[in-house]
Amino acid sequence: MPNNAARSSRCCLPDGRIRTLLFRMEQTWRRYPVMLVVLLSFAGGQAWSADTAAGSIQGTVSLGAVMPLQAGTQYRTRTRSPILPPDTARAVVWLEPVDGGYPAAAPDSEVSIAQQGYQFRPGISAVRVGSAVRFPNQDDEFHSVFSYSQTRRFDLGRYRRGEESPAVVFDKPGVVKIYCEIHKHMRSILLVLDSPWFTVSGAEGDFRIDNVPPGRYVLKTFLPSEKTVEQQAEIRGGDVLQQDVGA
Amino acid sequence: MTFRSRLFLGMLAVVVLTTAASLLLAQRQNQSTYAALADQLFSLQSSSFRDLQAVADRTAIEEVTRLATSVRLFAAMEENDPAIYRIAADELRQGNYAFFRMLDRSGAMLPPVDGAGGMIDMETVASQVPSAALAASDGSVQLGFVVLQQSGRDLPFRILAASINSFGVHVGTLVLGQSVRAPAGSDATDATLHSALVAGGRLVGSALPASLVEGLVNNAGLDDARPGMDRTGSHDTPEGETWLYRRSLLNPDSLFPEAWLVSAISTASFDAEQRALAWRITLTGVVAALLAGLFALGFARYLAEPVARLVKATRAIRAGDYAQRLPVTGTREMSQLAESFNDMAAGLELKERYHSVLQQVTDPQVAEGLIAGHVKLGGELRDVTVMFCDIRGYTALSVGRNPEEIIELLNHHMSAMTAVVQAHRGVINQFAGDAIMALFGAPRSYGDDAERAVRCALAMLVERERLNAFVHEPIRVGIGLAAGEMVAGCIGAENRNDYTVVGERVNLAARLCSTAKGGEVLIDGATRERIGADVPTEAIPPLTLKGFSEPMPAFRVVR
Repeated sequence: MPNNAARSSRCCLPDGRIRTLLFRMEQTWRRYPVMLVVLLSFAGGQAWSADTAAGSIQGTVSLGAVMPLQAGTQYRTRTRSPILPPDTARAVVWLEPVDGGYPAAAPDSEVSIAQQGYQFRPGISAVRVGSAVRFPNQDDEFHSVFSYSQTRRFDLGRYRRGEESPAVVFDKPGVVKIYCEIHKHMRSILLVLDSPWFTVSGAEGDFRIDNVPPGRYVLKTFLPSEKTVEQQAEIRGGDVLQQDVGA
Repeated sequence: MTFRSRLFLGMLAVVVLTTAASLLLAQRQNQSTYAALADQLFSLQSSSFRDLQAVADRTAIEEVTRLATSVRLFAAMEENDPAIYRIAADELRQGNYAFFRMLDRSGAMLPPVDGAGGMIDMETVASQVPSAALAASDGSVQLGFVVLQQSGRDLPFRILAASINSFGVHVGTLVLGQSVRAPAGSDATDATLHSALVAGGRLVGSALPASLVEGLVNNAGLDDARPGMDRTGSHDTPEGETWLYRRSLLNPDSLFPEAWLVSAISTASFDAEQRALAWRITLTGVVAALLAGLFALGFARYLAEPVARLVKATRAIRAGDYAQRLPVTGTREMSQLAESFNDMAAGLELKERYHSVLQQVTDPQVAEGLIAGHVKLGGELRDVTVMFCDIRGYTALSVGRNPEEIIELLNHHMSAMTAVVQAHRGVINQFAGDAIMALFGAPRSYGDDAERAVRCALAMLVERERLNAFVHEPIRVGIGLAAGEMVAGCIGAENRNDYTVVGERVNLAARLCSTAKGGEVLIDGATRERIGADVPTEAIPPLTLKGFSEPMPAFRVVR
């Protein structure tokens, strides 16, 4: 079936590059449950922002193949309701100015990483330094959220649905890996960033960051493979920079 | 070799061989029984230890797996948390362990803090545990045994290495040490079963001889080269003691060094028992040999004595003593033999008596001839020289003597004369009163019968004269000889007859005898013709004899 779909789409797309990609896709189709899709974005009819002082950057992150968690044979978890699939893998993309600092900005309004269907939702998120994050339990069972990350160690202990979860303030930049002690498969990654110019990509890797002052930046991408890749990017006012990130 | 010594040696040989065989059999039987017993003990020991150990191992593996997959441990390890030992100690607080250590992804040991079993010298662990085992990153649990020094004592530990991982992501290794009880020997029957644990070049458990320990620890110099989980062998210490042992591999398919459970038994007490048994059997054998020897001697005597008596009696019979009789005693066979012998001796005695009677009543030559069948009973014409010899003045001699005296005198004379006749191969035909009739040439001829007769007559005279020198009253004899053809044969009734000769020549000889004076030998013409010229004769006037019509020429033998 997927092969047919690929073949039919190939005849509709004249571009030779797409054909090559589709061919590669066919090759890897069976191996990866997460389909690797790279599409060139044709932003025809691009709407320039009215604010000429700020620019935008948009593109697609090649998310790369992400192996799902291998549930070991010994891993048995008894849950009251079925475990739902985790969030799709996404990347975090942000800009760091090559020279000059960050604007003094208020921290993000309260961010929430919920536990729902025995998964952290969202699976990946990003906040500015100083932001507080809550971890509401939306399941009918206890969760016990903790992290040993050097960025921020915390251990919320067990609490159930409806109980107020304490807000954790992240005042240092870095990667925070969040686990549930009870459900070993649950994990979430929180990036604490100095930069206010960041976004979490779409499921297909597409991203757009607006309101970026013109200047030279390093475009950093935290991939699902937990690798961070860097690229140079120059933002011009009133312009939308088109830049893709390869895996 | 006498019967006695042969029997003695035979009995001795039988006893010695039987003793040696029973000694050999008993020792071999004992040896196999002991080997089977040792084997059984070893199997019991190793199987019970292994069963217990298998349960403990399984529990330990489950526990270490649970601990190593703790998400907290994983998270802390992932972040290289400096408090990793405290976090781990907290995670392991309900676990059973004597010590634990954390290794990072590369297998390097993270420096421990208190509560991680600090008293264990981890350099020793590292020396006993190869880093390959510690870097068990494939999710498998490696199990082994180590012997570590703790406050000066060697103690055995079970050591487990498990990957700290979460869903296939390996972040480090957890090494967990659990105390295990050192295997101790158990007393079974009278043999003490020793057992020990050997791991990483160290041994802990019962005391074993140094050379065996060395062989076990170095896994060399033992003759159980056969590979496998269970190895059995025997070891001779330089002190000359033999140990049977079995060693069982406790951690097959593990990256940790091989750990062995060793069971061993000294055969010293068994050897002592074997020696005691050998002594007992030998002593019994010696006693049995003595008894058998005595019995053999007694029995040989019991058998040999009648045999010796038999031999003696047989010899006596050969010498002519037919009166020999054996006592009919002893075993049935011996008494039967004695009876047969006695019957035989009686038969021989009877025959001998017949023989002597025959010889008494007839001349030995005639008797022999009769027995041998030479004498023709039907009678024959033979050339015979007949001799008569009687005492001159016999009547005067017998006057005034009692009959016994006369018989003694006659018997003495007759015996002497008979001896001379028989010496000259003459045959005494009969005694008639004081006269002796003798034949030469019947029943057998020797060719010179007449001459022998004449010489015999002269010898008889000489003998008589010799005898006369010893007696008070000398006896003088006259002898007459006549030769010629006469009938010889057994004459008489059918069942009672005498061998004799008949003819006128017989009468002639009798007449010549009665004519002869004392000390004179008269012969007839025929005799004179038959004798050679060597014997001088002189003619006397022809004699007119009763019964002969013509005067008969007669000659006197000149002495």
